[in-house]
Amino acid sequence: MKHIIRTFIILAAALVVVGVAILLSNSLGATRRRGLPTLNSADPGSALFQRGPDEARVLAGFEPNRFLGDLDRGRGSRLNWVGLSTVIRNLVVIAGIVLAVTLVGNTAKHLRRPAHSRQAKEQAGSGSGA
Amino acid sequence: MEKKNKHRSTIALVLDSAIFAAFLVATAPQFSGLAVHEWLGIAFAAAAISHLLLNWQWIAATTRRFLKGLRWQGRISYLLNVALFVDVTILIFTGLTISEVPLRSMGIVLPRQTIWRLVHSLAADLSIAIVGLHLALHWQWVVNTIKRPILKSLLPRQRVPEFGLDANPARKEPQL
Repeated sequence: MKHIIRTFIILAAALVVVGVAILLSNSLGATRRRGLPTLNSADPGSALFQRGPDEARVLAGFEPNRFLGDLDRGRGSRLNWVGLSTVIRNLVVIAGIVLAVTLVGNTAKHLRRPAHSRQAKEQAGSGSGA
Repeated sequence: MEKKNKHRSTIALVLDSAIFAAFLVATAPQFSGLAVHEWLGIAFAAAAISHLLLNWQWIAATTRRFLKGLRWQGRISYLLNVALFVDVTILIFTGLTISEVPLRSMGIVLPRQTIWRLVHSLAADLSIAIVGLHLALHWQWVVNTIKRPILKSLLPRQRVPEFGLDANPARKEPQL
């Protein structure tokens, strides 16, 4: 049990570190490096946006993505939290499933053991703990 | 022989960890961006094939024993793996169908159909649950494979039977 929790905490922590690094690099360097406005910084009233949202996105350095709706909005520094939180949420769901199955498996194993051997083990456990 | 099996387990663990990390990133296309999501999906297909080949002995043996003499835990695990295989196949196929970046870069343009997008989303949601169950059933193997070298380095001259050092370290049938 401890291993599961520890492993998933380490994974979540690593993801948070990666996420923060991505966010920092996005907000610090992306716009300047490309020399192009992002959707967050572009003025909706500007000529860039008046050419149409898809063209504006391409010009702003985004990939055209009509089919997946506003998926590529996640590239903005603020909205990347949405993606990171999805990764962490999925990790938590998987950790929950692993924990639940391990608990059920351990309980089933415990109950399958004959009562006398269980009592002996419990007595031995309490004896060594005292 | 034992050394070869241990080496194989380590390779399998490294590959499986990489597949798991790729899977987690691929489940959130908003996080990586569409291009990375799609290329990662293609790489995931290749890694999944490697995963199957590495565990081919188990697949072949369990398929042969499925109808005769296999314990119910083994049957559940087998059926779960079949479900995961079907789900991942659907996921990759529908992903390629709705792909925007890799196929277009190769000059392939497929007609857009909303149904594939819907099936892709459903298969992706289902895959999280199945991957969780798959990982849960093999959790003991993961723990043992990680612990074995660490314990061995801490206790170089002692045997650690409870972690299967003197048993065959190849992947065992998962126990519920």
